[in-house]
Amino acid sequence: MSLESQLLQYLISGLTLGSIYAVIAIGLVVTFNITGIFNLALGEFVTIGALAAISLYAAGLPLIVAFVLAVIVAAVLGALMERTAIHPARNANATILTLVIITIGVGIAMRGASLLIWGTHPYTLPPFSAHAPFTVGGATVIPQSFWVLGLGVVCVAVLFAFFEFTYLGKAVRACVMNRTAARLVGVNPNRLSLAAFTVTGALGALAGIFITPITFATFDMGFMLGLKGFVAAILGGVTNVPGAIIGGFLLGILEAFGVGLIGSGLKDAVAMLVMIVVLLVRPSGILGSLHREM
Amino acid sequence: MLLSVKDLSVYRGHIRVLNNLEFTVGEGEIVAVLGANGAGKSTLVGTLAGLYPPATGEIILQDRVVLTGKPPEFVVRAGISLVPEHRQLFGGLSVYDNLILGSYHRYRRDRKELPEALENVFCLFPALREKKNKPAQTLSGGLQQMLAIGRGLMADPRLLLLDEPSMGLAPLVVREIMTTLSHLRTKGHTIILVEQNARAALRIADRAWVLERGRIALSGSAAELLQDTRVQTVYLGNSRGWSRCNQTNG
Repeated sequence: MSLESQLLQYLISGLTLGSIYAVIAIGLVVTFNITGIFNLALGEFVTIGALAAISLYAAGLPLIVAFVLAVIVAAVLGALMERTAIHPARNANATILTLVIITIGVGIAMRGASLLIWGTHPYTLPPFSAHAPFTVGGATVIPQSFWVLGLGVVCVAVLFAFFEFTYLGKAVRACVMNRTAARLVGVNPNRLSLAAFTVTGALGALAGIFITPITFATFDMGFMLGLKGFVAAILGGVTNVPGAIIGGFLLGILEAFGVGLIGSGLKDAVAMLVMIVVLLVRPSGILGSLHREM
Repeated sequence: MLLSVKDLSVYRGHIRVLNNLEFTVGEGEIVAVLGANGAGKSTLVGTLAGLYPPATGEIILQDRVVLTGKPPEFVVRAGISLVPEHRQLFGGLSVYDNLILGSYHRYRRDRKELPEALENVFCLFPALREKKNKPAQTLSGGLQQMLAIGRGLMADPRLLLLDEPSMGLAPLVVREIMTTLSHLRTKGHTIILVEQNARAALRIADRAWVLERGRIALSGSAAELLQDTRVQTVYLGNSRGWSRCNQTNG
């Protein structure tokens, strides 16, 4: 394999990983914009989505039905989390810090539950299409990579259309821009918060299901993915959706090149290093400011 | 009676801002609320709109709907719309979007009435129509205020609350806005108008209250208050040594 095709190979695996990071980062940023808190349990929804899909598929359901059900399970869990953990605490005037720590607690509990249900074995799903790998410029591309990239593109397109062209999407943006004014016209932030946790729970599950045929699924897969999504969100400027997308892909590519050119032991170190450098050098992120605009 | 308020007390933090207020507002009148900074004017309309929960008292709309302690998203549905201090527009959204979002609480039910409501606002403020697709934050202060009022009207309120609509605006623009408000009254709107600009407010109001340290210190018809010596010296600046400060928050 020539150096060029090797680099191309890294780039492709970077884009694939990055697509997943971007989807998770979008979930984090959208939740943050609407509710003012990071859902640091989001990674666990990735796990639950993947493992639930695997179990349902193993139980004999068709692949697509298993996916849909797993996504619904994650969405319901997201809604449940908001209603039972976030909403009551907010009503009791909990601070943002308290709420974020609650999400960490929920995440730990979910990881524990996953461990009890699924144990420590790695599981996998068959690739979505049985096509043989493609060869592009000497690099090998497995079809699942296209599915993952496609997920990223579709998520971005759907969210963009929602926020730009629908009445409800504009109401959500209005609430992000000025919460008080939004309430004065009748927007109920509690409902938006519930919707945010539900939708991003589903989004996390989708990311988990799509990446599983490539990376395997374990009870603790979501922890690192959630963390990477968080780094991607910070890279993009925390409140900035386009920034989060770019941050996700950038992080994926940096990681893939780090692994390929230096060593696979460095995979997770790259993300943390990137986060530290960004926070030191450009805390407002590559694109954005901390200004609350979407 | 459109609105009746009994024994209303409100705290902001540990400070008691409103003290046992009692008043009523009738259908189709403009009531001006005057007072110095910190007298509790903004807290009063904010409380009526549901932004601050009262410690004691009752807020009742049309003798039956109890609004006490209800959140703003409920209150606006019941028929009270607040045009808040500093306009509080959705800056990044277009003029059009700001207006249609004003109808959020009735969007699902009355979607068909939106074009007509929109047309009414554009008739009231023709300049907004020209800037329909511009982001709200790019408008001049006067247009932003008109947009804020338009957004408040899009909620189709029974009672419109305005918090300092003249703040930071040129006298000509203030006059235009006040003219619009009195035009709204002739169309049957009921308005509570909080103003530092006492002269402009009293000119269009039917009645007025003067708030001092959270109490209604004076109340009467607008004409009476215009003649009142205390109002003249303190709020209209008719005597030496007093100057009205229009820029700061009330």
